[in-house]
Amino acid sequence: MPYSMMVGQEDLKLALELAFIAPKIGGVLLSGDRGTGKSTLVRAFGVIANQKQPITLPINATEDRVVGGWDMQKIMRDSTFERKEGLLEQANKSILYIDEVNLLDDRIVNIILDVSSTGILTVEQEGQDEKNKQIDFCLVGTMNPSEGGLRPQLLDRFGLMVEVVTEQDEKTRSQILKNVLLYESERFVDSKPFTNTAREKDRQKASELLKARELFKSHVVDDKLASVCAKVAQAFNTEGHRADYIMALAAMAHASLMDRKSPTAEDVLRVARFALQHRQRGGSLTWNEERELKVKKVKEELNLSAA
Amino acid sequence: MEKMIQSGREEDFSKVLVVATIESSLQGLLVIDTTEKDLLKFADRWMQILAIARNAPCRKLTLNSATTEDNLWGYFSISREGEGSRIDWKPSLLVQHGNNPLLVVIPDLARLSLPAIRACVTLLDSECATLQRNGIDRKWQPRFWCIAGCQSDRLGEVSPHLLDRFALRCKSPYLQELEKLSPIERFQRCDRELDPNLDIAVELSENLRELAARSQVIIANGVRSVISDEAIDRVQAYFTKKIPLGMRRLLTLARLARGLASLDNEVSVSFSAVDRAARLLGISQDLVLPTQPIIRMVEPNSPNVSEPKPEPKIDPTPRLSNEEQIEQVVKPDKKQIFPTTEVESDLGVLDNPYLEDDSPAMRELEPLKLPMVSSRSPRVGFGHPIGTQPATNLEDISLFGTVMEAAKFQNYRNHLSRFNQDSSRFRIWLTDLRSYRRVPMPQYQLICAIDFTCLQDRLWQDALLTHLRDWAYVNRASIAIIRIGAKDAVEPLRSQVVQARNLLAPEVFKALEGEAGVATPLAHGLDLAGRTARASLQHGRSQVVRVRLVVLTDGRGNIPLQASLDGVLDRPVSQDEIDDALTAARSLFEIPRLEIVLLDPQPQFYAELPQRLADELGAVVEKVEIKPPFVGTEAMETLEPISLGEGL
Repeated sequence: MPYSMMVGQEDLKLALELAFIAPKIGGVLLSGDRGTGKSTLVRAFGVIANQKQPITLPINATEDRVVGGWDMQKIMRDSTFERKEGLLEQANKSILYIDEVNLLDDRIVNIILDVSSTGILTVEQEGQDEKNKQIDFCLVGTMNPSEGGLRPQLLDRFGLMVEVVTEQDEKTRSQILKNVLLYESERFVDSKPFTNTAREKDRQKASELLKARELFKSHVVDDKLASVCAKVAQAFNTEGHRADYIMALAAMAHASLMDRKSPTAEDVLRVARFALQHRQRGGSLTWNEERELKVKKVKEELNLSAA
Repeated sequence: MEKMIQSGREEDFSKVLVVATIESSLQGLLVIDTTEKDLLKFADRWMQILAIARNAPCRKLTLNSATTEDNLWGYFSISREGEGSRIDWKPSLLVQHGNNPLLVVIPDLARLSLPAIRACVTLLDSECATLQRNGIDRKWQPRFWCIAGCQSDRLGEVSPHLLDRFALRCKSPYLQELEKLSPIERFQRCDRELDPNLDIAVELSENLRELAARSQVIIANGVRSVISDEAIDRVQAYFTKKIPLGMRRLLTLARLARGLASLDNEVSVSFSAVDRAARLLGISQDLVLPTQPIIRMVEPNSPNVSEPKPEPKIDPTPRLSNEEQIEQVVKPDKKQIFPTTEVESDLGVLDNPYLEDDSPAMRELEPLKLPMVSSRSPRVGFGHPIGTQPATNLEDISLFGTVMEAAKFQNYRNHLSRFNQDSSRFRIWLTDLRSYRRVPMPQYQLICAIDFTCLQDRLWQDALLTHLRDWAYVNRASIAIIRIGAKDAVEPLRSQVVQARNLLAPEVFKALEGEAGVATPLAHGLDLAGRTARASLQHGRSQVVRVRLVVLTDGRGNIPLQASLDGVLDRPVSQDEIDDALTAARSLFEIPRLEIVLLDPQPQFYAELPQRLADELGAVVEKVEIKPPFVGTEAMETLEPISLGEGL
């Protein structure tokens, strides 16, 4: 389904776009209700971001397919050993998508953690000798928290997190129904006016994103931005400094998306939740009213100091 | 008339199958409360429909509790080639079924293996599938349908995530027929169904063939009825009372309505098509519009009508009851045609297709995660194999898995120069070793011996809950309930043992519910407890390393052990019965790795008996609280109800 046809879930879309504009953000975790279109949206975004479906790592993948291994069919057919790229290599410079990331085998999780934190893949097993291969991918995972959580180390590897909830607004729900059913109706017929219009909008969105990506390169983290990010992170008493850093990157990406030359405190406050939600002390993944009030408080303080 | 209703139910059911064939997003159908044989009949019918509609023979794949990753995705197979043999990757039907439609049949969703559950969650309602296993890299668009059966009282055992993947829900159309049979007739029917030679294939009726042929045309043309705004509003109206998580339920209703409208050659999906779809799914039967409200027409200028005059319009929100309603409406300026609402007939649809919303969760906390083997003892809990994995030591090596792994490399190895002198040998290298991946088996067991004749006015559930929740659940222990002196016992002179794989099995709570009977076969109960503990700790391939026995009794047994064993009581009650119980208790004391707790209900008479029994058992004594005396209705209303299920 084209990205432009997806209605609602604005936070989810924004987080994916920010991760595309600023690859250093490192990825997005989408956690939430069943049937909210998480997977469909990620696939649609993959198409506009990289002109192809994202590389998908299924939950039953074996280690040899993740890090790469021998091409078994060539060995059996031709008795020749030829290395076959693993999914991590295939996802280089694009999106590595893990559906139901919380159901992944622990061993595979460890491998992904290693590679995503160092950016280097080394394989020395079963006669393979691949050393120091540079790998840089945007990790996108979807999960349903009712089926179990993720270890804090893996959570931290996702730069941003979005809690996906069912759309409650009746009009939005109606529009979702209409778009999905309309898209399905046009799938098997030649005339696709609605889908074609959406594809055109997708192309425009892709060029906007590329433009924003270029603009992002001109941004720097100045003292003002750093201070706002630190202030927000301090209010939330986060562990380490990754939250501050990711928040700054995401704020710059947001400013670029809005076609602004420098990020403002508003940009930081818009993206703060994405960077902080999964880095709260105590391991809670929910964003409650108390946390929202904290952001508001920081906002008020910033307005006061600006005045 | 009976037959007509029956055939009506079947026709509705078949219509759902036809629509699911047209609408590729309606892949999963869950049939509630069906027998396995009936499910196979439905599967056979659906395969015939799919074959006509998709114009290609339909393939079938059955998934059950023994399904492994290899069954699901494929495996390496050896075949003969000239003088030698060759090894090839053989993909499963799920991965490769060509242009043929595939029907996956799951006879019992509550007993599906973990790999199959994970596969269903990944593949059902998914636009694309990926296989990345053992050097194989495949991507494909899943083109399969799935029919599963599940008993309504076992839905709580199934992950809601998996249930959500089954968009369509139906009750078995034969259920009401089955319920009307006497126990003997039902037994006869089940017995007949067990006959493996019984032919389940039934030819499609003429009507159904025609519907399937119509669906073939719809699929070939690709043209579907257009969904109107009116229909969308109607779909929404069915979910205004309780907004469901996600959009799947709304989409299912809309897709089913669209499929029905397409079958009827309707250009657009109407209000009534949505109602028909809702009826087929069984969504909110009580929400359907009243057949005809009594309408009192009032002239627009009547003084009874207050300004402003409302426009007469159809309320898309379904009414909450079928009660007769008297409404005052304004006569419209121009004549309007009201859409027709079908009169409901008893078609045996579900009262609520999403039973899992209200079912108590009787499953593991994270049912889709791979099993964790946590062991406090050197004996690892080995259940049956569910696959193989690279071996890290020489324990539990899978010979076949190892040979198969080595076989892949034989051609290459035999071409290596160092083996030129002898190229005919089968070479196994260290890296080929594979060990079994197994289902974890319980290493702990909780046996509860409950004497139902001493529970009156005792808060025994509270006392027992500690052992069930804090010990049995935490240790994932298997459970055995010894029922002593229960009123519903088939043989009152004997105690009865109910075994369950873990605390979440519904039979545990059923076994704990009971009233006091007339006899107390305590000696037999303790004897059974001893046998159960010994079987778990010492017999066969059981992996149980520790058993906890919780005995809840006042010690007043009144049936001798021999009478329980013989099933005949031929003498009056005496001291012997109590002595028998004490003797049985003494034998329990001797079982190693058995810890015993006696819950003392603090009886009014013979208050010393529980302590005597505990001494013989070597048990720790815990007092069971006595219920506070009745203090009046108002005070009772403020008391919280106690439920074992809630405590968990």
